[in-house]
Amino acid sequence: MGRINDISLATQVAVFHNRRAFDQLVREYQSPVRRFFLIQTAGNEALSDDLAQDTFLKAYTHIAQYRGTSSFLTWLTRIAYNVWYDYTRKMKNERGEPTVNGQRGSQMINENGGMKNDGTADSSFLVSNSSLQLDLYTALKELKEEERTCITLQLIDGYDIAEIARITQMKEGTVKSHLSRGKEKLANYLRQNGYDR
Amino acid sequence: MDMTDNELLEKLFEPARQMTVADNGFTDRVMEQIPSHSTRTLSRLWTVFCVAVAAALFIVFDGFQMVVHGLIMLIKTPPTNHSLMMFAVSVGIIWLLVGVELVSRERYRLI
Repeated sequence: MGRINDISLATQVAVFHNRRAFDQLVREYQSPVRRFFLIQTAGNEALSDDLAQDTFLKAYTHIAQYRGTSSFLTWLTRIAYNVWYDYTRKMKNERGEPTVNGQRGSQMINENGGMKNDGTADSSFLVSNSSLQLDLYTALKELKEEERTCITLQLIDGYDIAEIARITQMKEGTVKSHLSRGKEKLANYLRQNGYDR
Repeated sequence: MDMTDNELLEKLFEPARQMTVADNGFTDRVMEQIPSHSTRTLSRLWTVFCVAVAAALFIVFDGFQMVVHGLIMLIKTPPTNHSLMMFAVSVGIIWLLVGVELVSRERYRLI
């Protein structure tokens, strides 16, 4: 869907409360938004869907604030990131975990039930799936929350550093160091587990 | 030959890049949750009603006179530690509410 079409649909939603126009936007962008949450939650389908739903509801109520200077998907991803950030902060507060903790992300994913009891990811609703999906979720658990988000935004969603900085409201330098550290950790983890053969 | 870091990450992330999540009724569930136009209209009417009632009560009980009287008392009374503290707390709360509103708007406005 082109930028002009997105702006046109968003305007119809903002001005005329056109539900059909918003239906089209949700249908078009549900996959990348749900994939974003699916990766962050290590395949927890129910949690991903709840967070994605929250993202679209927030997008609907704030759609008048979409200016069209970026793509609609980038704007949605920014909301999705905020939803995810709020969720992780809430979980952290409920559990009384420290603010900065390298293991925090991994623990949270495990406790949230991202993996089934048998250790397999709950991702049965994916159209295109493969055994590599398991490796990805396991490998991403090696990263801190911020590193995981930056890495997935770049290597899965294809955003450049400037866009990631706008989505996450981090400085570009911070994004670069999260990416660099995250990639190094991932590469080391993959080598240790014979992924390079 | 050993794989470079980039090749390794490429191999790891490629399936995720190709991954498509089937809708399976997700859009319909979202659309069911969206507030209808009539709900929004009712919500606005309720807000207007509450504001009108507040304005009417303000006039009936001579609220303007009470505000003026309060301000005069505030100016005439010599400041005490308690009143200064209450003033600082009130200003702090107002700034906090303004800050929360601005941050909330910023989260959706920037892009």
